[in-house]
Amino acid sequence: MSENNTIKHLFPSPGVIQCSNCGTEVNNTLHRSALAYACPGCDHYFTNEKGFGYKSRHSFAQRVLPDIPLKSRAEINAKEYEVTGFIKRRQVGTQYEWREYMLFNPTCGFITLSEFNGHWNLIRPINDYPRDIINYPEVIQYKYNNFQLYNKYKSTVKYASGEFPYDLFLDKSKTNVEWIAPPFMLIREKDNDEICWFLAENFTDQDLKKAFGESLTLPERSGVGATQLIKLGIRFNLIFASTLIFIIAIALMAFIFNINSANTKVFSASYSSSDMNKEKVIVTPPFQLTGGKSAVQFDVYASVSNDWFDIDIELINDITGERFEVAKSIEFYTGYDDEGAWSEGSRSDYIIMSSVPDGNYHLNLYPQWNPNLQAEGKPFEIKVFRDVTLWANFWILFLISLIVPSIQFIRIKAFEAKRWMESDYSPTLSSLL
Amino acid sequence: MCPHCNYSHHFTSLHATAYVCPECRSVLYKGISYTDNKPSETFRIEEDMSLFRIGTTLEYQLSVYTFIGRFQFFLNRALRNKWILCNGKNEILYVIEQAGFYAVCKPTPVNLRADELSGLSPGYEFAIDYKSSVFLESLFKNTSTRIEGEVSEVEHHLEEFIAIDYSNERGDYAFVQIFNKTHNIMCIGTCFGFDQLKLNNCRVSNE
Repeated sequence: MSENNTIKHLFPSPGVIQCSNCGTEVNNTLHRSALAYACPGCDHYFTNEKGFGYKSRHSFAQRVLPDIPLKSRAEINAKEYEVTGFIKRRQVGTQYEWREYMLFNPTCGFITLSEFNGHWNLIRPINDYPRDIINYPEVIQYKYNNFQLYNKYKSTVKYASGEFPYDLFLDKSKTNVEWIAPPFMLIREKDNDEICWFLAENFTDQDLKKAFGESLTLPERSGVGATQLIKLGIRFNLIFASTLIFIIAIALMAFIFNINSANTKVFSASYSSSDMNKEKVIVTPPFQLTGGKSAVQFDVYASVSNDWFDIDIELINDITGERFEVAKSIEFYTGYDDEGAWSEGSRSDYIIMSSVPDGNYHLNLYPQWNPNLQAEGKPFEIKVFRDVTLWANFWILFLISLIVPSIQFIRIKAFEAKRWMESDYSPTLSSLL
Repeated sequence: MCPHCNYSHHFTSLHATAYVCPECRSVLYKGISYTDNKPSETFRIEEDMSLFRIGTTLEYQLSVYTFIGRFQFFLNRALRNKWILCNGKNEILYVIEQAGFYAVCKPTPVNLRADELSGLSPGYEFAIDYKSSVFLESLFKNTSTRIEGEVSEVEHHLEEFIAIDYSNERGDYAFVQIFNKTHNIMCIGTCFGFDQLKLNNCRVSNE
């Protein structure tokens, strides 16, 4: 039985490096695997000369204190790591600076924590990257995700402290390219002698404190990180699909209700002003509403022309005296102008009363014509339909269903705009949703 | 028996051609009379936190291999170990180890042409057999070599050489050492994580 899993992969007792410049003794966790180190005492940078000792190569002008102290231990993905090195880098030709922390585990090797504007990424080397990538395409596919080109740059080392498994200044021709599919980022480093690929994953403040302890003081955040996820970040595709399914479902239900609706005409009549009594009311003959409590629709037609017609309708139960009231205005105007004939409004309209119980009913009609015109005497028609489809319910639900996707769309658009502000390769919003 | 310090050793591998005495660091070549061994020494293996040691065993493809020797390369970009393993049938295996990277390889005869060696750059595709290709990932220069245990081709490894890593998405791996344009060594194998290796008698880290 393999003893791998039973071995306690303890860190070896550190060696000691004495700085040849200032004499500071530094604990040497990586032992001879440290091909370079930067003395925290005098900020001189040394490289290992063929394994025979360290030679000073560089001196950093300005000291930078790391947010995570060197030699800190952290548990990440059930493995213990130690922070062995700290680097501050700057993108060539810009003022963009970020910080990197090299973490080491005896069996897993090195991983890196990178911090920019308070946003953290955990970076691991990968071997299963696509080998057929040439140059830097806009989109690459990796593990079923589409990664969008985000950045391409060269960097310089502004400060370093601790131990490193390679010479930080070895090859200044190294070019980095980044593609993102939040919360992930693919990074390709390439120079004349080496090509390396890394997978970075967004590392939240909570992840950091869980790994290093609650006492860790973290830098303040600004902007949106390249791999940062939006809060309540349900993917827009999922919301769109869910909304579409909901709309189709309610449309189907409305369609079924419509088919099952009786839509029975229970009353129809024409009236004019001569039908009004002294109280200016037209009282209709009685009619029956049956089929159970359901909606009643009143269709009104008035033969107006460049005029208006108002009507108040009272539906009165002959037995119980229960009253239902609605009102409707009809307007219709026509004319000619430079563009030809125009018209506005309609001579007919309808209004629906919902949940009217069965019973014997009659209507009290209160028509009003334009008193300034000779409208009196012009007839109007009224029809009453029982058990009609309430399409208003469908439209209300339809509009409500658009609220969440609309809000999420606006949020995502604003969030992605901030994310891509730091990039020269901003894609279209549709490709991000 | 080492003629310089009388340390006793018996070669365990038929393939090994030399042995580094752990006491005095003398390189003792097989087949040469001990009294004729020149008192050449190698520099001591440096502490690199490797969890392997002489005597560690690896179960691979139903056979148990024992770590019998290693080359420790100070490459210009990294510190790397090339461990030599041998089983009971005298079959040789290599384990390439570098900062959490592990590849188990078998020696493979290679005869790279001179034109294949010049102008190599990252991304170069190299066919390892009729169905698989690997891609050049890293070119290293070896600046210094330390040796321990039973090894072969010592004289070449003590020179400066170019080391090349090839790999592909499936984890196939090839390691080529170019000593000069007429002599090179290649081993081909597979990359593994440490937890995937069936090991015994590893070194405890704080030893």
